[in-house]
Amino acid sequence: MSDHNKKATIHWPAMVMGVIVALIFIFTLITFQVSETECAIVTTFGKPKALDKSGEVFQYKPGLHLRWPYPIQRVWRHDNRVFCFEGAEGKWEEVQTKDGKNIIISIYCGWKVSNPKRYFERVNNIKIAAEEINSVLRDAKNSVIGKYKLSNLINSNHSQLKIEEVEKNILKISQSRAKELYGTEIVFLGINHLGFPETVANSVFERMKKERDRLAESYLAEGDAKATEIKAKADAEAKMVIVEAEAKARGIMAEGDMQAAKSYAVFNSEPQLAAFLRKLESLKRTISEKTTLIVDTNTAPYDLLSADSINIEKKQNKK
Amino acid sequence: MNNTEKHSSNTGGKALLNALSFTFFALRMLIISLFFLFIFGGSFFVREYEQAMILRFGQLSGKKGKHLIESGKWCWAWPYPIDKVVKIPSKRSIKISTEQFWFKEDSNQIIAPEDKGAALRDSPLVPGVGGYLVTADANIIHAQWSAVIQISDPIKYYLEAAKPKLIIKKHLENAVLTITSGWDVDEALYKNSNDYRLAVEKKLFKKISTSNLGLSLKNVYLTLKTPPKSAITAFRKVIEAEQQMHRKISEAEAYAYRKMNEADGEKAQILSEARIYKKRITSNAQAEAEYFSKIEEEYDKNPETTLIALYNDTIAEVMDKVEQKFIIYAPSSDEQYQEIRLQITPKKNKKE
Repeated sequence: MSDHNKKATIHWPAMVMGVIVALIFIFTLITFQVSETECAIVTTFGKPKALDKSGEVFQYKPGLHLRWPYPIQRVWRHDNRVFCFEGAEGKWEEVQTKDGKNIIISIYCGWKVSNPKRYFERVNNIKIAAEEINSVLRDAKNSVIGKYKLSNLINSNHSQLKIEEVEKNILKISQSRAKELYGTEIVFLGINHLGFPETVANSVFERMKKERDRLAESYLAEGDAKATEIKAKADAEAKMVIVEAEAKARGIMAEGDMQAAKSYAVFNSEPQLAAFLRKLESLKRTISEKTTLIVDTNTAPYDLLSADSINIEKKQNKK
Repeated sequence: MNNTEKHSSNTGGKALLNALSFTFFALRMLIISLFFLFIFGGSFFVREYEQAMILRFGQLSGKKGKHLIESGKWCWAWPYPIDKVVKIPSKRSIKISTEQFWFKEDSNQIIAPEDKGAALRDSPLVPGVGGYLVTADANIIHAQWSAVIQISDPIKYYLEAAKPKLIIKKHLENAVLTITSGWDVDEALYKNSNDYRLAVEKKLFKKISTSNLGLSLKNVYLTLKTPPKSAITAFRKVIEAEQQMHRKISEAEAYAYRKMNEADGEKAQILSEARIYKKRITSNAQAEAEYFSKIEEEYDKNPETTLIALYNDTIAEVMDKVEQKFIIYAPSSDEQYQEIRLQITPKKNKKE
């Protein structure tokens, strides 16, 4: 092997490296990638590559594409996904409703590039695009809110609430303008803040406090009234129960008396004997241990204590 | 050139040659290392909670339309810029919170505990500084909300929106505002706060479903809720009054319950006494009738003797029970009138 060939063999890695670097350099100069999340347009000497005479710009699909190296052709990319921003971020402004109430409304929206050529020509920057869309939103918001009353935005009667309708109308107005002016599409839109100006908010607090005081008083009064009502009702019901029980008891007792009277019918055969027996029974029942009884000697059997008792025996003997 | 100079020149050349040989060797090793790094550096592991996709020259790669690499797999991709690996934590829950409706708390402000209430009450609600919600009855409340979501479609999640979490946050705020505008303050804060939360959840679920962001809603939490700082005392007063109302009503209900129980008891007693009376009266009557019938048989045979016997037995029985008996002589009509005086409770009177 000659010295020259030997040296070439020894330095092959460096040569391969050089070739690879050169190939990569050339490759990056003549190709470009478009990601799945992007849209891209290519300008040749500053002019977008048009697809047809109508001027619609050629949109490259995701993947690897060829191009002429800079400065002949230049690739402009933009994230093709939906972006979200809050319209009134740091810019709170009052809007007047149809019934003359000042409110503060903040709107957020999601937007994406729908016309890359127009977007490229008019804005071509996310921050600038957001600012421009914000202006469009502000105009649409002011014109739409002025057509609705505050009661359409806050109301416990859900049929009166028209927040979604307001959002749809703002979207409708701003969607067409954003597309026409900046080549962007507003995908969705919503209200994410609804408030009052500072002075109104403070007066709302005062009203809330007064309302709360009134409510507290009404609760106390309601408590008293309901408690009294419950107690009175309970008293009446209890009395009714007792009255009913007494009536029923009287019925039971009358039934008992009636049955007793039937039993007493046997007394009719000898009424005087019955009366005598009843008297004896009454005597037994009414006189107890603590009774102080004063009887005279005319009362039997204590008549034995009188002198005449002997005469009775005599009479009997005579008989 | 003498021999000494030649020798030193050869030695220098050899040293240079050796140094160059070493450098080329090192360079060779570096290239081989870079080659291996290039080949094996593209390997990556998809963790248990992830799914991954490979963008080859910006385009989603995959066989037979299957672009997702499932979790728990070792994979290999060409280094950037040929391939780009995107890992999505699709199996993890994502919590998104908003403080859009919460008042501003100044962490640098040092307030003595006793002055804190007054300081909070007196602080104004400046638009854009302190957030709040307006209820259906035009009252103001503060609330902190959060939503838990999960990535249901990683490809859509990556491709549809630049900041999907921000979109969900804004949708959450919108759902909260829209629902709150239809709810009264008491309902939202105290009486039906769970239904209120569910209404927001339902609204957000609908919004996320129609957004087509490859996300699904798991839960919505109402983490904090409070009336405005300046009206807190008034709200507490209402709560106390309401509790007092409920206490009075429950006391009255307890009274009613007790009263009815007492009435039921009294009713049972009255009826029981009536039944006892009935039983007693009928039994007595029957007994008396039977007694009468038996006596009557004897009376029919020997009336006077029967009566005297009954009378005397009764008097004896009665007088036997009586503790104090006074038998006085009954004078005949022509005798002089006699008087006897009794003091019924003589012992007690003596003590007094």
